[in-house]
Amino acid sequence: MDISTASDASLVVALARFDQEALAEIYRRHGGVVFGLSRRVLGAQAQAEEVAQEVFLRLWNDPERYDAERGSLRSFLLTQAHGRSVDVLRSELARRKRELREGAEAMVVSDEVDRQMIDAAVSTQVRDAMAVLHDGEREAIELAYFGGHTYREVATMLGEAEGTVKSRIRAGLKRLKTELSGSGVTLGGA
Amino acid sequence: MNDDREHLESLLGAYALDAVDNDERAAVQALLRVDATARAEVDAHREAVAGALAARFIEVPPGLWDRIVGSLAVAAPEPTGDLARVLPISRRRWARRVATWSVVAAAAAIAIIVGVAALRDPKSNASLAAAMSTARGTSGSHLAHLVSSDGGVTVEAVVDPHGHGFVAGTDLPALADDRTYQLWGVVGGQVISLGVLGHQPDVATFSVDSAASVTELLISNEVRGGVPRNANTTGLLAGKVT
Repeated sequence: MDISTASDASLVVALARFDQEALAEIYRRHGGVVFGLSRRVLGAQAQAEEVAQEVFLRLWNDPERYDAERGSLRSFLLTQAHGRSVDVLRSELARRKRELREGAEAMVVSDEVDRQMIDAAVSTQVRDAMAVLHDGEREAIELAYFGGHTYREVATMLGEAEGTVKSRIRAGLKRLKTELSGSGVTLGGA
Repeated sequence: MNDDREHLESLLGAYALDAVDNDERAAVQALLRVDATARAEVDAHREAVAGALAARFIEVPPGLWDRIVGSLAVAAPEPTGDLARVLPISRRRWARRVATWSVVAAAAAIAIIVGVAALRDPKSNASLAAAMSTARGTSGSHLAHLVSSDGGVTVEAVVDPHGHGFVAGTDLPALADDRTYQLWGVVGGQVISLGVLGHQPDVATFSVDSAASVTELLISNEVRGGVPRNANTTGLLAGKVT
């Protein structure tokens, strides 16, 4: 198998034979975006490295968890990375909030700090890709995805109804898919 | 019931972004286990986000790959009674996998791996088709023509001298989303699962100890995820390996 031109699915099959070159190729193709997403969610390089390491180690140990019929390998890896990053982030935020003084004022400050962190974390590069979204959709998705917040928390932060936030997230993602499909953005290797 | 379903469907976008609480996550996951349309929507949402992030590549810090390599079990494990990892694609984690491993253990001397071409990746299919053509022309390769009982469908399989196999499932009629084709090999008189091919397969690969070890190949129609044992040796399509 020519590693450099093999499909992602073929590379994952090769992992079952403990083919380290296959893992290296998968890392070459997707390591950057996996680390980048974790870095943006967590805002901390060391934690992002740990998450990225976990993601690729899990793929090495359990390649059968990837189902090529369900989607691209990149989407699978990013789902793993995002889920783990959100777990870490929520634990960290919960710890920080416990350390703040009690009271509504402290909570408001905490939420505002969260939004500022997210604004700093979401780089211009990703914003360009999200530019197709309506303002309400983009804000809801960014707070949820990069901030690690539930839609209920996003609704509170934005002063919107929960149903509105849910709808904006769902509609925004559909619009993003349509836009990316139209612009010919493809995923996967080779 | 409809209100509950509508509520769960309204959560699919948030769920795809890990933006639901634990109770809602569990409820959506229960829906996804039975609703292929909902699964497809969640997958599409995740692909959309992945596509947005793919717009730019991001450098990784030096040393991260070294850390990953350092944490790997570099060598393949010594053969045990349970033997090598079987990789049926489209399989879900449920109790049947225990039985599947038991079936594989019965063929202790053979490492069997199945891979399915990325069904959405035309480049991959073309590569596998070319590889299959090469194997077909390789001296020492074995061929099999799996024919349906009514003679209406024929599927070709090739196993090269090194035990690398290909099966071209293109002519198999598409199954419903909750079904899959499953490949079986007769090895030493026993029917061994070689993995699932999906509900609408193209070219799939598999590996066996050697071309001479498999005497017959079978393809059956099973529930999505496959089954641990073939109920009989006739299967849906069958063909001797010559």
